[in-house]
Amino acid sequence: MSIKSNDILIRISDVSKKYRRGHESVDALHNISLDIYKGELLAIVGPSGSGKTTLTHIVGGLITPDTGTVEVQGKALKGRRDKQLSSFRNSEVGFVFQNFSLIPYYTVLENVTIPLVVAKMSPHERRELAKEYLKLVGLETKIHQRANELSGGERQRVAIARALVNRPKIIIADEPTGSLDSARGNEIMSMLETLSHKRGITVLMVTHDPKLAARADRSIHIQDGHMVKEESHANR
Amino acid sequence: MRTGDYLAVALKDIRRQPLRTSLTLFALIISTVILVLMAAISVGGRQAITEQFGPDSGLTSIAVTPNQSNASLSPFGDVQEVNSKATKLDDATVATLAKLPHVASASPQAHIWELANFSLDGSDKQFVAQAEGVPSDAPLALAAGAAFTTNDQTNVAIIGLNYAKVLGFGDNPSGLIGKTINVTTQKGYRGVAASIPDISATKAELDDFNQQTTTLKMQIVGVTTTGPNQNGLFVPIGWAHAIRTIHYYDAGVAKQTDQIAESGYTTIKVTADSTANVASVSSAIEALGYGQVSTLSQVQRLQQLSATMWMVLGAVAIIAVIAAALGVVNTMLMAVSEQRYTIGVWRACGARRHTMVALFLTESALLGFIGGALGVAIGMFASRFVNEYVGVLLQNQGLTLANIAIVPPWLAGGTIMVTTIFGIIAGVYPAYRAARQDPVQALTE
Repeated sequence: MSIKSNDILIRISDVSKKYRRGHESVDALHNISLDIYKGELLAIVGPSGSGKTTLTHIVGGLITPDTGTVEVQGKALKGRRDKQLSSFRNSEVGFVFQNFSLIPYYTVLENVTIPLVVAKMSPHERRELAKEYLKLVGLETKIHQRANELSGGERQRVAIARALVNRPKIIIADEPTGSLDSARGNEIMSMLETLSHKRGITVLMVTHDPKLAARADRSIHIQDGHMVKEESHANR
Repeated sequence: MRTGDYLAVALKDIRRQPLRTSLTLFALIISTVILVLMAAISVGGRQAITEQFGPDSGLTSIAVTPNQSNASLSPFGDVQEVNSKATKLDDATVATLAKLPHVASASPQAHIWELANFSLDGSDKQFVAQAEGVPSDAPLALAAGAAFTTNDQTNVAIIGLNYAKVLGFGDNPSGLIGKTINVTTQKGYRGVAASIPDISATKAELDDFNQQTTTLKMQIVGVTTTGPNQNGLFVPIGWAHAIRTIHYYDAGVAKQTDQIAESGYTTIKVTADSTANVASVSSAIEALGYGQVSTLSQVQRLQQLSATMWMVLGAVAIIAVIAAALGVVNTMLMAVSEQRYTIGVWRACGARRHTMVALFLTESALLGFIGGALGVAIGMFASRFVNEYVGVLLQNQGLTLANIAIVPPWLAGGTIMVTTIFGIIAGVYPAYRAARQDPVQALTE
């Protein structure tokens, strides 16, 4: 993909985050600065505990940085109240977690409609919309099955359908293939590639798998809270 | 979130743990049933008091007795102190009382101790005869029939409405008019219509007479309304004199004594011109040296007693509801603890903190509502059982009471509202904890 500077969707500037672990203070992120572009598939690579998940949570508005700013479409997330941050998560971001983050006793349809319920969409509209996205991920026949009755791959596809259903600009996928076998993992990765390249959705994918990272447009490497390397794979 | 969605999500979460929800609801239901029954009995008691003493117009009635009463000594009734200066209640007393300010009427009553029990002709049911002699112009409110035409009418009676109810004429008391009751006297009765042995009777004949009763036939001419006279049996005062006049021989000479004339009337019913003047009329009667018990003061004391009982019973019931509400707190805290992950998912999908608060408050309110509604339904059923069971017990003892436990719509609605509010209060702290939960921590655990 070709990237222009005015295509910047997310600007991360000098973001630092510390966690308290007992009496100790641990640096999760240290002065991270990064621009992320519209429609880009960005891989965030690093070992466990390096701070990559913390970075995605900051971008997704789930936590706030101690210092530095994150701007999405030129608007800073810092200083936003719970109402605005919640609204941002609901309308701009879709999360896909390694552990699928589905509510096990909800049906597939109920899980997918959660963002639409929060957005106060009418029951009929949200049902139709959720069905559309479940069809997209190939699960239209399983809408009434409980989430805990699905296979791992199916669960992750439900999570992707839920992340997409509110038509977000950003998908944050934290180890999306981590709990899946290679065939299912490849399937999910292809789905994320399609979202990025064909639908123009910016995808932030956390992974520690170099092969998956190589399929992204760009990858950044984080180690001990520092961004140590940035690679572009646009020529692949 | 839409209101319907809050309800749907809360119901889904409630159904997730059926056993725990059932146990929490069970505690709520039991406490609600206790609350409803306590309140229903209180309402029924108050209604029974009102029925017992009649409508407001009956509250102006004051019963005058020869002896001073001291009501403050007992919460359950008057204690009559013997008044050494007490004079009997006679026609002169009636005239004096009738002239007191704010007195609308004064009417004597003479209890007829000689009459023991009675039954309707053709019926097996026997009733204790609480018989009183009253003048034809006595202020007896009638549901059917008419007052006595004269004081000297004989073989006629007015009976209380409660007898009509027991005899199956509660809805149609006029059906009793013209029917005959057989009133049995005490043994050895020596009044009118008694077959008294003459002077030549042997000791054995006299002993035999002393074991015999006399039956007086009376035609029912009236049936009272509900109120203070609903358990009474009334005969004309002139005939009461005849019944209470004993015939005997003294040193071989036939004599007779009118016991009413000798010992006076049992009470004089004074009617004040309004309930506002009952207290002043009562004071004026006491100033004359007589005892008095006003219907109004009795009603007030019984209602006070009923209110005190309700406060005690209500407190017990409220404590039970609070205990059940603590169960809801526990259930909700467990739900919040178990649903950390679910809360994290909702928050990641854009749910606000206050959305989570509202969601958990809806859940606890639903528990309160469902527990309250089921408790009220069972309480209403239990009230019917209490009414039927206690009704039979009272009827066996010759008493009638329409309903001892009444659940009016305001009580049913109010109880459900109270349990729902308790549910909401019980959910406040768990909901606050749910809202304070860190979604990231919940999702990554």
